[in-house]
Amino acid sequence: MHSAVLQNKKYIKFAEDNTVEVMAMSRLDEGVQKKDKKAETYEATDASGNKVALLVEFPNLSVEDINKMNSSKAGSYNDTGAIPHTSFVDPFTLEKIEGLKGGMSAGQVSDAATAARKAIEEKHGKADFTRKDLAKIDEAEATVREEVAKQRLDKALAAVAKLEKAASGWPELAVARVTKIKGLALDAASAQVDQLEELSKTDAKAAKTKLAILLGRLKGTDLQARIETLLEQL
Amino acid sequence: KPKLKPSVTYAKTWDAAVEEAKLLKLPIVVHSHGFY
Repeated sequence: MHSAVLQNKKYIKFAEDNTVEVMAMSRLDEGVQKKDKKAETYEATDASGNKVALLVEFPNLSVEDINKMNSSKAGSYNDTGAIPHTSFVDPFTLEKIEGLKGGMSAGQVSDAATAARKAIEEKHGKADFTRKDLAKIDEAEATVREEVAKQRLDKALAAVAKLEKAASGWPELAVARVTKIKGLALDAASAQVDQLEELSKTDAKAAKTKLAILLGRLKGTDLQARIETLLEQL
Repeated sequence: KPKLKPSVTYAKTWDAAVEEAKLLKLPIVVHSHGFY
């Protein structure tokens, strides 16, 4: 089916450095209903600790992931009415740079991807951001979500601080994601300030102590002024 | 009781694919297949 390219060790290494891979597969639900061996799943635990059923053939995707992808814009690039088909897309314009109809070898896909990458770099320059950098963002987001869920604000804010340090010199799009992740932690911090403000009505001393500790962690954020005002009132 | 083979890493969503490709300045390779 797809193993000649997507499970080819040489292509896997090539893709790691040169492409972003998308699977737009139709009729997967039929395979699931028929309990086809190629639709077999295994149970995994994701970064948030949730149990997920992933496909053995597509080891980091669920049936839902593939169905959603096929219904997204990704499903529109094959305008030939025939499968298989491989499209090479410019992420900045979302236009198809090249389309290959029919089954292709790993070498043919690599050659077309190399040409597409060259075309993108000619228009937008070379990237100064790596997959390792991207992994740092993904890991920090998972940590922040997990720590916020467990109400461990300290650890969430520490993960944000570490990420902000790493983000020096990153492109705007990456910094925007860092800001969004920081927002998750600050939303949790804001909720904690709400709780302490409520506590101050019944136990001003305890609220003051906890607010002072929180202030130390939130200096330089939008919450600093609010906490300082509360402390002045207590 | 899973026999996992080496495989490329797929983007989980279209939006994630676009964001990743913009950051890395790489092409998105869309593999259109049918299960049958």
